[in-house]
Amino acid sequence: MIAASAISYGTPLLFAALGELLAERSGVLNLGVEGMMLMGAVSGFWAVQTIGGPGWVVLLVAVLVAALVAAATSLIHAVLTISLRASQIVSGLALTIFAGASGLSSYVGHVASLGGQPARHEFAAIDVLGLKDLPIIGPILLHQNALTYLSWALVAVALFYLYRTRPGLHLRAVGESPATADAMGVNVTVYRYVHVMLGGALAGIGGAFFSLAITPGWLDGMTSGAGWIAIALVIFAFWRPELALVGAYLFGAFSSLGFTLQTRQVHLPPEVFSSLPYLMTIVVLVLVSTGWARQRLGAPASLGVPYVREER
Amino acid sequence: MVAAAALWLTYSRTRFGFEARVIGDSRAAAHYAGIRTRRKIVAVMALSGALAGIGGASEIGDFRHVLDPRGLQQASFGYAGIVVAALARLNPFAVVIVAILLGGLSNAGFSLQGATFPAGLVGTLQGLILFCALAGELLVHYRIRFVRRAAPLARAPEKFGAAGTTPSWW
Repeated sequence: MIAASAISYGTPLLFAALGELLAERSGVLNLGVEGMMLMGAVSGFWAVQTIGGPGWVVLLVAVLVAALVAAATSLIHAVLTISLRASQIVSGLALTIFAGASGLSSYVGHVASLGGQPARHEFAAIDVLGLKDLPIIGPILLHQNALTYLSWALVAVALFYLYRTRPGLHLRAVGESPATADAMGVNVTVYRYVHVMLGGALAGIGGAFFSLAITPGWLDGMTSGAGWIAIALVIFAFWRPELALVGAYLFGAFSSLGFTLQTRQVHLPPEVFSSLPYLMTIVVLVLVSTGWARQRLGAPASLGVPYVREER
Repeated sequence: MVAAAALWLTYSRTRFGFEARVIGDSRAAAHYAGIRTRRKIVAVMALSGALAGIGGASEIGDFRHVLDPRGLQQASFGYAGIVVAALARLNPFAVVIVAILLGGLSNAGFSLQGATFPAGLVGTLQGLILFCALAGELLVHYRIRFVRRAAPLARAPEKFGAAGTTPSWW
């Protein structure tokens, strides 16, 4: 039970963290994840409510809309930080203010009066091969919704992309040393733009997971900090997709444990669990901050540094 | 404001502040000059934590009078604080001005909120203003030069010498 709900809370984290991971691998820190997730949540839900047609088509279109809208949101960050070389930290925070719980996503939601509407379609769990009643692995592995399976496929795709393809190699080069990559003939600007927007799209899908799967519907600020946890998760996972998968479900378990314990009358403040992801990230950071681990596992070397050709 | 003045005094007139600035500009140089960089960084971090704590306490003590962690989090003063510091280009006096401007903006939003003024527009406008301010930052580093023969408006590639006290990636 707990494992299954850990997966449903972990999946949006996984989407957002994979997206942020790609962006950070290209050297761009995007602190606007929370804002982009909320944009994805609101636009995905809006699409579900307005588009007609068979359920699965509507949901597919909704996810695409969420991804596109969030990618467009991240384009602001990309233009500001890559082309105009603004501070990535400030720009990302500004993006969250702009799109976040008291920003554009809330505005869109109120104007379209989405609040309180029951969802017309939602992502329901798929019973794979009719095996959902298998003990233990049944509910965990074989009874999830389509987006969760998509997220698992994305981890594999991201792994293959990063470590087995030429663009993936170039991406890592851009993140570690843009000057070298530039000399190699890699277009640093294009790579950064593409991956920031890919990151935005994935964050948008993660946000749509909230409004289409976890609690179908729309609420102001419904991601409730998942974007920030996703950013911590990228660090926790050392910028690796496979570890992001593990971390997402670990962090997902914390948030579901908080709720489960409350319903079982265990008197432990839920804040304990909501602070655990950050605590663990700090602990991991301290553990690996010395010696070889830093070299092997650390952040992309040019993370947060705008690339200016003329300053090479 | 007292804090801003005190901070400016510390940073511009005391050894502590000087050493902190040297560390910020070049850690290696600071180390070479015999400054205990690690200890100093911890001290500065603690100082900044203390200031942030005062900020949180003042919000509760002077303004809300209710201990409401959720509301405090939603107002997200912490993140806004980072934005303020960056827009003020890390100058304590400018921080006072920028903070009042940004605070006024959100406060105006709260009073405007009503049936005809949908929630969420405040953050949107605030974000737009921040984006414009950030985009304008580029012009601090570059000079617009009017060239008569070629394009009417061109950005001259040469940089101003020292960009001031800001670290290179701001």
